[in-house]
Amino acid sequence: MILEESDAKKLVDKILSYSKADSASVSLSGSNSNNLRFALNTVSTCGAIDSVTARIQSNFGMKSGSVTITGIDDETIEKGVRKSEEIAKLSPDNKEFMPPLEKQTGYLEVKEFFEDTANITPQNISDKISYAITKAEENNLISAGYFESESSFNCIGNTIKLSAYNKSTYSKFSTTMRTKEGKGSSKIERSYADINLLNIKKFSDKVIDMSILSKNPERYEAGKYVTILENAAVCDMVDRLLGYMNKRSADEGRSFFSVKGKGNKIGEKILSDKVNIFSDPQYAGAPSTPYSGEGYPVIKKDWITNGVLNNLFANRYWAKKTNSEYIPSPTNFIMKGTDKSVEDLIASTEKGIYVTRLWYIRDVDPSQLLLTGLTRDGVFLIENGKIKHAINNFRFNESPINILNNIIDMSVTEKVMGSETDDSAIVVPALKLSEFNFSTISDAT
Amino acid sequence: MERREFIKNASIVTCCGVIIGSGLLEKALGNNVFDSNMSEEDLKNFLKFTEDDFKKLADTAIFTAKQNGASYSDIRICKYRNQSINTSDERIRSISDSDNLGFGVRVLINGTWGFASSAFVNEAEVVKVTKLACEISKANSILQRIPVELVTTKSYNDFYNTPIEINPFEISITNKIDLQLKYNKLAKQGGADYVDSFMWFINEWKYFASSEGSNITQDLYRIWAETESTIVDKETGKFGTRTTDIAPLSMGYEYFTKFPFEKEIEAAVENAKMKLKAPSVVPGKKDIIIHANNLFLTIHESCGHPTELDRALGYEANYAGTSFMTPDKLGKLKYGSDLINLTADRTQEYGLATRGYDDDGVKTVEFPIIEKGIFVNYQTTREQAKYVNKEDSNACAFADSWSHFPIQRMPNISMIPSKEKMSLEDLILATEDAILIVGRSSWSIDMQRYNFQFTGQEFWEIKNGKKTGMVNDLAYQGNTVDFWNSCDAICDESEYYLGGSLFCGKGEPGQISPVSHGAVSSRFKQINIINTTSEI
Repeated sequence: MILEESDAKKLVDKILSYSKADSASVSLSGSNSNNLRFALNTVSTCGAIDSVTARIQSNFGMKSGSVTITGIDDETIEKGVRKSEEIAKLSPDNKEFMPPLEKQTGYLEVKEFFEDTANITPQNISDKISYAITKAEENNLISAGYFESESSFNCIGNTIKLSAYNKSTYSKFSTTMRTKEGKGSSKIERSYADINLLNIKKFSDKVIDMSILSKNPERYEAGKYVTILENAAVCDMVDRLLGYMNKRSADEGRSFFSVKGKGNKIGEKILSDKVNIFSDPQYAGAPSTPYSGEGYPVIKKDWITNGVLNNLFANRYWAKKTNSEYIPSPTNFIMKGTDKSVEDLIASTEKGIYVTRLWYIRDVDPSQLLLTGLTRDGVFLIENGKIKHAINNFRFNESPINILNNIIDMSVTEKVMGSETDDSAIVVPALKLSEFNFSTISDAT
Repeated sequence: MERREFIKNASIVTCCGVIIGSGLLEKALGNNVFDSNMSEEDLKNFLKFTEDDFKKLADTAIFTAKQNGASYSDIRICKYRNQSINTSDERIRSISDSDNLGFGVRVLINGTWGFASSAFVNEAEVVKVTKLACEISKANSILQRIPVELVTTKSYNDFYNTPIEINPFEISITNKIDLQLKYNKLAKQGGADYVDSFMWFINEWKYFASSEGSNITQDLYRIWAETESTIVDKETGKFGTRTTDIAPLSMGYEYFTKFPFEKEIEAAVENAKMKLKAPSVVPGKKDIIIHANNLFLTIHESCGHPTELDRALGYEANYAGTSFMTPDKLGKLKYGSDLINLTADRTQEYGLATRGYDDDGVKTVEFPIIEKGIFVNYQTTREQAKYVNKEDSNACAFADSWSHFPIQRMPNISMIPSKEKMSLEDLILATEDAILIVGRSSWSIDMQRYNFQFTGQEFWEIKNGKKTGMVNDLAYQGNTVDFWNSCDAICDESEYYLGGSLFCGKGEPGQISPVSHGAVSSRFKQINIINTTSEI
């Protein structure tokens, strides 16, 4: 269900009108979405979802309770409000309770809703996917993939007149094409608010070329090598890094960003001076929600400048306690790149490994941000500036800190999705690294 | 819970918006449901105005689907309730309670699936959504290369519920908070610098009806609590954490009386302190004893996932991956040593995947996966069983929401313990030189399930039959078949531990599923140990 701004605000106000608490806040969200999945060159599962939920938080003094409901009829709403009040009354004081935010101004204008994305029909979707499957068949490949489109809204309000609304769309396509003998594979995954940017033909053609190139991988020993990580692989590693940039855990001594004794690494140069990471809800091609979960404006923010850590995010309580600025976590992020193509990075490499995607990334040691994971869907040996042939997959044990200190060169940026990132808008370059630690060979193909 | 009661309770909790009875016929006609040559008489004959209100909604869906060309259809009306309590140190962090109600309709037209869903549960919406599911099926038919055919199943009219002793939603929030803050205090008294705890209470209620005549209601409960203690060494700046090892289970509030949480928390803090001072492990090939509370996850990753038939066939190639256990290896692959027997069981007591019926409406069963080391069976659904020449599905279809299409999901898969007496103590006594790995920590495995790397929460050196002290910074690496074939000793049922996860991820859109794994502590020969501090 999609509600326009005035209707959404009316409904939020109506929910709040039932409140008997000292204060209350509401986050109302609704969406309409479509999905379609294919595998073995045939359609498999599909779905359409029409949904609406409201999260109601009631507060008495420093006590709070939260209730989430689906359904927006009067009775459901009133019962939900009452229940959140009952929970709040039973709760002990939360010593870190922060009252709801006052009315905010300065929300950035963001174009995140596109009619063409919202209006897509099941027949349109099927027609688009038909290209990928038919082309895979023509090239003797086995395709699997996924399409999803969604339009959604969110409206936040509270009993002291805060009000924020956002409407957005997104469309997503991914395909994996495997060679028939099962040894080669390539994948692409992209998402855009504007479905007109989702060029399924172009993406499918690229995956077909790369899949054919990935045939008959040769055995290559694990070790530390000059490595080119494609944008999607970089996306996973940088996303992990940003996820850890929490000021509180740093200040408390339980994070990579802690400094022994007391404090954190803000102001320290922790990465190569080539690294610049910022967030900006208005960034062209990667728009994102211009407010935080509680309705505070999210504005452009520099996180890393020339390798120096500028900011860590903190909630309102921690910001107040440490007498620092309240910085919500970003809703998108961009790592600056160059004007070079991935092909340029390959051309300048005498010998190295080219990794297209990563998979199953997990923490091994949070104190050094050591992560483990695997390569997937295409690893290649580069010799004398050219891709020589495909090689086996590897397990890696690496840290995004190492990676972002070992940069030799970077490519242009692209809006990509990692294997393990969500639908957040992320823009990163591909990276050429002086070294990357491949720990063991993986037999998976 | 009876259906009537559910409706009553639902209206107290959420007023689920189920509009029943009067006006059904008019609404159906008024909405132009029955585009074809339907007469009012036909409709009356089809709709059975029984006492069962959900059945009326189901009849509406099934009728509409049939009128629009479906050879098979089903509807799931689901209501999920989740309550969570989160605390840090001596303070409450948040208390949340969520209700989520909706329905999904699945139709099969000329061998192509259609599926649509909505949070608005009433007849008009059921009609609209069913028609949309049919429209999607017809649109997708140009993409259908292999028509879907379902293996047969019996039809059931039944009710199933998790046999709980105490309904967790009837226990006051105050009691739950008090208990959790007591746990935190215990950890702090033991010397933890920070403590973070949670309790989760989950109720999954669902009604399933199919065009083949099934009407199945299920009322399922799951519960989990965990306490994580963090120690920061002020001198070295090092920090370490230790969580409790009590797993999520299908159980009521009696969970808290059945398990020794206090003892777990005290030991966790002590061991976390000890671990920070422990020497770093020397890497290399080494015998290891894997405690059941770590091994359950190894079973999940290296046996549970590769024996999913949809993965083995290629249906998950774009996301979760495929499997090295391809159908040509069925009945032939020597997966593990002769000691290894793994059984799949959706009827297992306390198992998170335990239920009466799967989301295809098939009655749940127990079946072997690995017998004396040989790979003998896949997990199947009604759609895919025929690809390995099975006439029946073994009831492994599941959707985590009314809004998601049911896909093949893992049953509880567990080790069968040794029949010969062997406690963990006996096993340690019989071991000359090894490392004991305790507790689940991080894990990672490739997309065909060959190469894995796991860590743990505690690592103990064993020399000449005795635990001699802790080591730190360890991970073990393996290749699934080599690993399970290197197993030379397993414990008996006195060491049986039922671990599990509420968040096994698979599918697009992403779905989570709850699943348990029983394990006994076991010994593996010459496994690759790495030191995680010297990797980079």
